[in-house]
Amino acid sequence: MDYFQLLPEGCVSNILSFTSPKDVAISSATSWGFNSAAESDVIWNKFLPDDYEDVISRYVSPQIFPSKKELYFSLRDSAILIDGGKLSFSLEKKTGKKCFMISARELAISWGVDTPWYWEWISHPDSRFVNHVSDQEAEQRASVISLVEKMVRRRKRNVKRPRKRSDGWMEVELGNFFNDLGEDGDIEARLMEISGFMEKVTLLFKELSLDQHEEEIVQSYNIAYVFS
Amino acid sequence: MVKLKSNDDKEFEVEEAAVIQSEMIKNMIEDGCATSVIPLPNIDSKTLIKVIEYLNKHINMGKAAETGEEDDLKEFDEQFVNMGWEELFDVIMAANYLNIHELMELCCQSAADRLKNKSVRAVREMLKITNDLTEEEEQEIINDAPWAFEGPEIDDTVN
Repeated sequence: MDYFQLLPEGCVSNILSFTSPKDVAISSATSWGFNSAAESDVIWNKFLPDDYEDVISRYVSPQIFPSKKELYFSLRDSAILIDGGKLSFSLEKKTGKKCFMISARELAISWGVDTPWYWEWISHPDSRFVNHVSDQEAEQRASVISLVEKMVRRRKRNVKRPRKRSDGWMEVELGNFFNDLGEDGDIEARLMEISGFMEKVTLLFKELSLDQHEEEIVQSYNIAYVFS
Repeated sequence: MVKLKSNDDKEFEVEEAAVIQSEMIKNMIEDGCATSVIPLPNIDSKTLIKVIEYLNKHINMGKAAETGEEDDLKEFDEQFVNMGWEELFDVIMAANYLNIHELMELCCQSAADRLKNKSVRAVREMLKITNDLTEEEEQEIINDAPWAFEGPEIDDTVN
């Protein structure tokens, strides 16, 4: 006997909402009943971050999604610009966790304003943001930022070597932090030259990213600078 | 005391404090519709016994938190869902019908845990699902989300 055929579709959706996007996709390939139950908003609403409505309301070009599933995959497949284009937001492909990207324009960059002989603002075809900053010459120091994210206790300071991402940009992980102290606060992350004053040319600075950790239930993020 | 009657005509007496964890029965009592026996045409006596066992154990949930008996309750819950698929689905349907939120969550979580990382074949076999998709339809579903169907964590065993 097909146990699942006895269950009302709502109950099947309810069960699937306790699994993961991956398990739902697998289940949906088992039969028509499962496939239909796997479309339910009950499921995808639970996979979306708790505060997704707030994030979506900050969307630069508001859009209506016919279902929560479509919204989920749209956020997972490509980042959206929010807060007037200062931030981008997406869901991590495997885990569905939140990723924020802060445009280079929003960072405080030493010699980054009105000093084109140090840093020049250019548009890069890869970018979801309008501008990157590019260091044409000399001393590259950079960036103090205040993020309007939640945070506080720095868990470890573990700066790693840059690694090449699949899109060709280099990424350096700056560390991570853990927040259990509520909603408001600032976090500061810096990237700077500390060992000398060697000239660096054509250093492109793309963005700063904040990724929510997979395992943590509480807000916990990775911070990384992306450059090339 | 409130009297409940299963679809195989067995009657059970349950304390009101326990039975009002069911939103459906709570509403009936509040509306004055629970004067004599409440018939439950969707639930057999075997399942109803399980549900009443759960309700009686969870009657003092608030108290358990105060007296540090949460672990005891947690252990009970773990034991409670230790049942076969068929029985689990019967309890889920009963919890759905009676609208007992906590019981529904407990059972759905248990079902979800059993499905975690299972392959398509394993899910079909565990739940005795008759595959009514054509090969093309199944392939189309897989092509829609190829990332979900690969990975070392996928478990093809049935248990």
